[in-house]
Formats: sequence, C-alpha cells, structure tokens
Amino acid sequence: MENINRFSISRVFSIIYRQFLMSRKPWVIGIAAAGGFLIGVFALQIIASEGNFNMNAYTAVGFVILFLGGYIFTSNIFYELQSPVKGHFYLLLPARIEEKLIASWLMSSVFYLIISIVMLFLISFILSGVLALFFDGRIQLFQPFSDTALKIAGAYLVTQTIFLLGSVYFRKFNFLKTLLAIFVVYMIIFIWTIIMVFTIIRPQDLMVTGIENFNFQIGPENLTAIFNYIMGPFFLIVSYLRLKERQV
Amino acid sequence: MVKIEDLTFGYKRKGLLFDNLSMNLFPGKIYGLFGKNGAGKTTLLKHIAGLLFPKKGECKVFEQHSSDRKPGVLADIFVIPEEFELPGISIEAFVVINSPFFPKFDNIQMEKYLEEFQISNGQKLTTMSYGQKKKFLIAFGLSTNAQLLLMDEPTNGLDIPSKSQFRKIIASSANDERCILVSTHQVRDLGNIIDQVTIIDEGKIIFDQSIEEISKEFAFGKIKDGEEHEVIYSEEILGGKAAICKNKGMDSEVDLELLFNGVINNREKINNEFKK
Repeated sequence: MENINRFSISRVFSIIYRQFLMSRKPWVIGIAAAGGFLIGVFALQIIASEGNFNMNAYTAVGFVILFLGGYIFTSNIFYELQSPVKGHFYLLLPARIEEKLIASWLMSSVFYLIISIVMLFLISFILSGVLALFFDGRIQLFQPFSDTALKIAGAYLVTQTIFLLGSVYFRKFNFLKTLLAIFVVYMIIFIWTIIMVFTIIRPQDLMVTGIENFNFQIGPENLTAIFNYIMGPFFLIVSYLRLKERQV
Repeated sequence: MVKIEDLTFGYKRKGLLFDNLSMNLFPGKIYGLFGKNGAGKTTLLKHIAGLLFPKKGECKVFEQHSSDRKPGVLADIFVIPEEFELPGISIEAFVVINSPFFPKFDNIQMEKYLEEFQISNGQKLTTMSYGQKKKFLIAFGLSTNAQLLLMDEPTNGLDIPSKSQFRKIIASSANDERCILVSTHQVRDLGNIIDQVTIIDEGKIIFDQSIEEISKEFAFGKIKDGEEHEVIYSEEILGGKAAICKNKGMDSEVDLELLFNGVINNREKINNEFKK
C-alpha cells in the first residue's frame, strides 16, 4: 500500500489521458472554432487589402484568442467537480491530490500553450499559402520563439493559475465568477492603495516635491518578480489546498 | 476495516445529522444499512468514502483517515452512488481510462459480470437506460476487486430479473476479505444476502445485529388473535398480524421490513432482547 501512495508520474499521465478521452469533443470543437475564426478573419483581411497581411494584428488577435480560450478552458478543467453527480468519481479516483492538480495544470498550461502556438504557426502557414497562391506575395510566418511570443506565453502561464484556482474553488459559472473575483480584488487593492497614498503622503507634498522624489520600496522590478515567480506558485498551492479540502 | 468513532456532522442550517455516531465494519460481511428518508444513510456512506469530512470524531478506513483520500485506500474502495452521471464514452473506453487506477481490476471478471447483466460491451454509456448504467457500474465496481464496496440504493431502477441477478452476483462476489455495505430503504430487495442489519435513526446507530443473532432471538410470522405467542412487536396486516415473537426453537426467515418497523417503533424493547 505504501508504494501505491507514492507520487507516480504514470498516474499523472493516466489522469491526463482519462480527462482527454472524456472531454475531447468540446476541446476539438473549441480548437476548430478558434482556428476557423482566425483563418476566416485574416483571409478576408488579405483579400480586402489586396494581398497585404498584417502580422502584428495577427499576433495580437491570435494571443487574445489564446488567452481567452485558455482561461475558459482552465476554468472548466475540473468540470467533474462542478457536478455533484460526477464529482465523487473524480474525488474517489485513486490518485494523489498533487497528481490530479499537476495533470490539470499541465493540460491547461503547457499542453494548451503548445497546441495554441502550433495552431498559430500552422494558420500563418496556411495564410501564407493563400497569399502566395492568389496574390503572388509572401508573409513572414508566425515566430513562436520570438521575444514577444515567449513573454506573452510566460504571462499566460502565470495568469492562468488564477483561473485554475477558480476552477477548483467555484462550483458553477467558474469563468465568470473568477473574472468577478479578480475585478473585486483589483478594486480593493486600488482603493486601498489610494487611501494609503493619501494617508502616508499628503497630497500637498506630492504637489510640491513631485511623486518621482519618493523612494518606493516596491519598485517596478520587484512587482515584475512578484508577478513572474510568486503569483503562479502561490495560486497553485492555494488550488492544491482547496482541492484537498473539497467535499461533495 | 472501517472504524467510526464519535462522528458528529451536520449540514449548514440543518442542525446535527450525526451526534457521536460510532460503528465498525468488518471484512467478510455484507451489511444492510437501513433507515428512514433523511436518516443519513447516504451521508454516512460519503463519510466512509472520504467524500465528506467529520465535524468532530473520526472515520478510519484500513486504519487511515478516510478524509486523507490516499490512493492506497481509494484503490480498495468502490462506491456505487444512487445518483450518478456517466461520461459520453463507450463501455470499453470507460474501462480503459479508469481501470489503471485500480491495481486489482480484472477484465475477465468485468466481461463475465456484463454478460450476466446482459449488457453488450460496445454500448455507449449515455445511450443506456438508468438501470443498465447502474448494472454497468456494479459490474465495474465488483471487477475492481476493492475490499470495501459501498452501495447506495443499488436496486433502484433495476427491473425484477435484474434485482435477482444483483442478489446472485453480490452473494457470489462476497469473500472473507471483502466488506459490502448496502444502503437501502427497499429492504425486501436484499432478500437473504445480508449478514448484518444496521439501522440508523436520529443521528445514531440504533440497531446493529447479525442475521444469525436475529434468527436466534426472534421468529417472524403471521399470528391470529387468540394465539399465544410472546410478541415483541406486531403490526396489522390483512387477515391478522405480522409479528416478531420470541424464538422458542422455531425456524423462520428474517422479515427485514417488519424488523425495521419494529426497531423504529420500539427500539428499546427489541434491543433489550439481545442484552438478556
């Protein structure tokens, strides 16, 4: 029994396979819809502009769809837990909580990102073909390893953990409730910051000396570090604790 | 196998459902867990499985807290819930994706049970009727070879031939290492497959005796006015009274429904008979 209680990577992949087989239909439909939308919009753009392709716009729209799709996908990654008549199967599946969480995180972050980026590349390849065939032009293909793409991918990896927590935490309408929770927390922090600024620093001082003369302890670099290295693990740990305490 | 001590639990705004409830389940037995609607049968099963956590007290399965939900414990528990929803995949796919989590899962047994329940292997789970789904789940649960099987109203939705198939399969799957807990209010469906009768009411186990002990103490039958018996409990039926009498060497089958009514209506008198 001790052996079976140890962390098992093969069980993680069994969970991924199980989840994939049980919910592949909506995933395939989602990928097809996003891909079809991108091809349709940018094929029209190429035709309307008589052979011009705006790669910046393509990258921007592509990543907006990637983020939005990823957040919705992540919000439903624990979809079995959202239903009391399915939840017990998932909770009683003989696997460690860490294995269940890692499987869901891998699927909604790394695997999702790989599939999305490959899709963005393939669509740019298809559009390039359209351009070459009908307008005798060429476009630069989508660069998955460019600085911008890597930074955006990194931002997705961090921010999607908030939706992972939302998926474990809420029982219904996980995506919308997570968005609402983010908005509420943001507003609280915003109001608190305003109050703190006007309590510690008097407005008249700000006018006389200028805000640039104040030595803030948390500078932009520290904020980036918090965002990059602390936020993701923090939400993963909270998700783990929530999953551990989850009852039907 | 299962040890529950001083379990206290209640749902929000509903007060306490269990108040210091204690019970033990041992391997090699089939338990019938009976109780009125809302008595807490399903909730008790959920505590044993680790789907709900006690507010106070403890619930241990294989000497581990069930709330820890360790894979080693979960691999030896299978729950057949009353209400469930199966995914839109075929039987084969369900077995392929779920059986790796149960190290003792036996595919040959699974095929045998499906054949006995007359379910064809290629069917898609969502196209099956509720009764067929339930039979499939029972077959899967038995094939995991889990030591602890928890069944919540397993005969609900089964047709008459399936109910007798169910009894046959459960009786044949019982062994010295396995403990089966069947929660139901349809006491007649269990027939004579159970070894132990456990009745829950008002947050406590109010009766917990083996069929052997019950048969030794009580005789069940129909009596007419004027007949002389030492009646423990009786109720009016057509053409006389159904009664639980003191057993004076008579051989009779345990009438679970009558026993249940007797315990619910006069628990002290019935329980006192076992203390003598």
